[in-house]
Amino acid sequence: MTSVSAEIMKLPAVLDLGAAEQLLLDLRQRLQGDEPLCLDASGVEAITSPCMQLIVSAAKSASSVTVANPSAAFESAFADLAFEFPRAPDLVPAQEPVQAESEEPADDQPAADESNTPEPPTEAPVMSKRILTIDDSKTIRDMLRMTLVDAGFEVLQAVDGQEGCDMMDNETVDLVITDINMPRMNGYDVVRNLRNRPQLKGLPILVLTTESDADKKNLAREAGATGWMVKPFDPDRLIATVRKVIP
Amino acid sequence: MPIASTLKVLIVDDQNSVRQMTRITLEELGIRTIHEAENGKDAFSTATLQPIDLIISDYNMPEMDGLGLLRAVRGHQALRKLPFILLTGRGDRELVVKAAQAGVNNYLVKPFTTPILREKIEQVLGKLT
Amino acid sequence: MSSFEQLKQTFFDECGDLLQQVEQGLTEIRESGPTDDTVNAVFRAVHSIKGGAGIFGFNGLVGFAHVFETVFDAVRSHRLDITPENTDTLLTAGDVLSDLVGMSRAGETPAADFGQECRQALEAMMGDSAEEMGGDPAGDFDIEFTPVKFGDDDEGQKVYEISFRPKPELLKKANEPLYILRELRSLGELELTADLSHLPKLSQIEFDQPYASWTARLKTASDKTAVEGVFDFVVDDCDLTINEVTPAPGEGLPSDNFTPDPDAEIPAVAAPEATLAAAAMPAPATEAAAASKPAGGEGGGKPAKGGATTTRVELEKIDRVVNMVGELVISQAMLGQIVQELPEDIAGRLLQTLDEVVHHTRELKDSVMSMRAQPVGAVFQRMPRLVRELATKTSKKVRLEMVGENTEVDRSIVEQLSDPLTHIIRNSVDHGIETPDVRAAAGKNEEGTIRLAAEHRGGRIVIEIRDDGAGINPERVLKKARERGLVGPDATLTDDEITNLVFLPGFSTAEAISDISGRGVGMDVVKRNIQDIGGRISLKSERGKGMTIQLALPLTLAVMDGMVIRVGKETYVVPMSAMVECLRPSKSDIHDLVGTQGMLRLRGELLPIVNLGNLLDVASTEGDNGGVVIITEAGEDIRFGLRVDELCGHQQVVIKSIEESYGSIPGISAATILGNGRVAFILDTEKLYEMAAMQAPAAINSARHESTAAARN
Repeated sequence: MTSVSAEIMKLPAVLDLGAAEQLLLDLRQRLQGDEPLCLDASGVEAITSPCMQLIVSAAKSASSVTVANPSAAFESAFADLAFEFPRAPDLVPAQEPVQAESEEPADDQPAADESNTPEPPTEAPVMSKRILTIDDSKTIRDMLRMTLVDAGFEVLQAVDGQEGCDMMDNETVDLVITDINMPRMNGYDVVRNLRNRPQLKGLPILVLTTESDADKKNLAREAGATGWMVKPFDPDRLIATVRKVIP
Repeated sequence: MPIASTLKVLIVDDQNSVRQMTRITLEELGIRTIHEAENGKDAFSTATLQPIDLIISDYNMPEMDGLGLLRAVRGHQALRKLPFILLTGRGDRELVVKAAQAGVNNYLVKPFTTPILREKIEQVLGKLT
Repeated sequence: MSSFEQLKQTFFDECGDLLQQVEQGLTEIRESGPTDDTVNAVFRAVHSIKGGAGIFGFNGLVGFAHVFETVFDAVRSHRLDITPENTDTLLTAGDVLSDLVGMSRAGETPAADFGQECRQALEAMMGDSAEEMGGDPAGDFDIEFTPVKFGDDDEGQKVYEISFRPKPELLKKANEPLYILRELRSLGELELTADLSHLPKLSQIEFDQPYASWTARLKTASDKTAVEGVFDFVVDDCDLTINEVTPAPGEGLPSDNFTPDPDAEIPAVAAPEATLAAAAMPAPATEAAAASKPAGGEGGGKPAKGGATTTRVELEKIDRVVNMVGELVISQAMLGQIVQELPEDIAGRLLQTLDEVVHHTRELKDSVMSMRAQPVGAVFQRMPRLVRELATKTSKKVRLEMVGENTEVDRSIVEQLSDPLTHIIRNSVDHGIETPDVRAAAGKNEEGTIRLAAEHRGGRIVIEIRDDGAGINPERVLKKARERGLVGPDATLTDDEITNLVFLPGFSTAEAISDISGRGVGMDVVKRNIQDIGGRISLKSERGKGMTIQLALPLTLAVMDGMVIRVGKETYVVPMSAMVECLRPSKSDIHDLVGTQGMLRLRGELLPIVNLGNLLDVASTEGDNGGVVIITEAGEDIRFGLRVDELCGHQQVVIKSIEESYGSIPGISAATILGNGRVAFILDTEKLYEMAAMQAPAAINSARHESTAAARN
């Protein structure tokens, strides 16, 4: 009996909260039939818990779901969250979605899990993460830029809340850092504005507050801010906090 | 056998005059890199940001006292082995006992002379060259 | 100055602050009883003084401080109570300590029996714990302590059990459990278990909801705060528990073998024991303590001012920055002037940027000014001792209440405040408060009270000195004033007016000029001192009940907000703090009154109007009925209208004193440089009112009476 041809679905490189909605739709669609589904995870560069949950749920819903060629990022994410995923036992030839022909029978395959390690995905140029900084003080903007650029980030700047939100109409960034007290539009309104945009789900937003201003921190959190950074800031702590919210 | 001129020492005391006296004494021993802090909180911050080989700290300080600093240092993953000498006053027996329990390396009664400071440091770090 | 001498200087500067803390603490203890915080604060301050004194060899000071410190140590360990009886001893001890510091600073050696009485009283307080008093200088303690050589290896690990269940908000705010758990893992060894039992099937799952929860066991040397810190951003958006647990044997943790008895031999500390509940007092732990909250360190209450990190900066440096900010303000005004002359399209963007600059400069000015700001407590501090000594000298019982010592004001004002305040309080004790028997006969408490209060009010700092003494005797004052020809024999004066007669030069009703209040330093000098710094003083008295003096001072001397005005060809600046409102009254609002330039009816009040041009002898262009009327304040409850030709704009001005160059100009308080580079005088509205009153006294007075009468109707 020839092994049943499995549908192969290649997972995209970035599987963050923003990609989760699409992933769910794709998974549901693919699992409508009873065909086994193999998820090719060789190209996954970044994955977080929402998509990981979806994959585990898919495996829970249909016993024929497997994951093949998990990339290093995929493996470490699952290990770090103590999630398990069903591995495809064979080394699955990569890439074309929906392979029509049947695969080679199992015993012809070089077995052993060691050889399951996929070839390292071709190194796409690693793009620097982009950070938008919003502050009406040029000094703070410059300090932020210096520190972030030194650490390898690409930095966009806005001088007040309005400009920041306008920029977000056209730009894609990985993180927004905003001050609170600004003319035209304050930080809380920036947070609320951005959180209202469904396409920006999962975008981390940090607010800058002064030492021990518990009220401002709480207000910012209530508005939907991811976290905060105390100013005047220590460059090392700034970077550590940034890395807390973007990998 | 540590080389005095390469040692980095952090002095912690809320009184500037005491810090300066201690600094002068350390310089007499050949120590060149000397940091200062006014209280335990600032000292801890400095210790996490700069390489420090030895902390000499008073006990009585606002914000975070010497014992608090000792405990914070001992509890910090990277700094837990950092050599710590506590400055005490006459009659502070109980303080020394508590400090010992918290892991202090040595104590020093104020006011102290240069030879005594050397002795206490060498008891912890080895002979100074 | 050799560096050693410089160090001594530093020490004495520190002593200044420390002695203040002692005084403050002792006063609080006297007023409201001892609390742990105040006792600790005093102990720490005395301890620090003693420590420093020891270094510099001020033996007399050391000896006394040691006794004082020992007493406070006993108090804070609850071996000794502070009672109303022994409180006086403590207060005196504070004074002795202060004197000893002063002597050391002046290089004098105190007599061997200096402060002897007080010291004996302190020792008596200690009772049989007197052996603590002795004690020779430092040597090591007679306990077994083995120094811990660095490099001795051992671990001090703690184990935490953690449970973490994210809620929907966590993901909504773009926090990510993966990053959080990775950070947790970085603290040590982590055993992690995920619970996905609530994970729905694909057909029901929602892509943006969290369904997983985790339990973990973390082995780390970090303390609980570090562990909690990992969850800082999400603590409200998840269910989280963190518990420190007793490690099971065999987990590689050192056993604690410290016995609780401090006199017992301490075993050679080969294992730096790291039983760390962050900074809490460990009961000599035989088990890793249960999860405890980070405290502030043993025995340390918060420092009196709420624990802000401070640093010392030389005053000169701050003053230089203040000057620079002042220059910046002027340059910026000039820039604004030039920009006004540019064509519209260029000016637009420039103006916007200039606006930003103005905004920043204002913030900068505020920050710098706040650096110079000192709490008035610095001046208030000397008053309790003053009152104590005066009361003793005059055999009266007086108590001083102080409120609002933390109210901040520019350092320059604080310095100028000392003399007037001292004089006022001296007056209060000397002349105001009656002797105990007189008070008792009057049905009052034998102990008189002086209340010294400071608060910010309407852009100024208001200091009130109120006593419950005898108040001013109007008849005696009036009589004296008539004798000195200060008041006409037939003049009728209201009680308030009589009271204010004391501000006239050369006035003193003290039959015998007591050596306490000194000779000739009357209230007129006080008033001048206050006015010189741009302040106002007012006095209210109720015979038999007491007297209240109020000082209203500007917050800063250097930069202020002003309204630029023009009269004729001259430009002046009116301080914004003196301005109430501006208007162009119509003819029908103005009522004629002989001898005045009119009375303005404004919301039921009648205010006299004065032409600024007339007062300052400047020809106006708009005349008596044109221009703008600025309603200004000239003292408490005194308002009048100043008629000027034009309002030219509102700007920050740097106050430049002209006294040194030009002496005192009537009606002018200072000068400034405007944006156009020209010099403008800053008006002193109170003086202007007085000048107006002098020019047409009867008219002004009757105007006032009219308006009061009108107000009453």
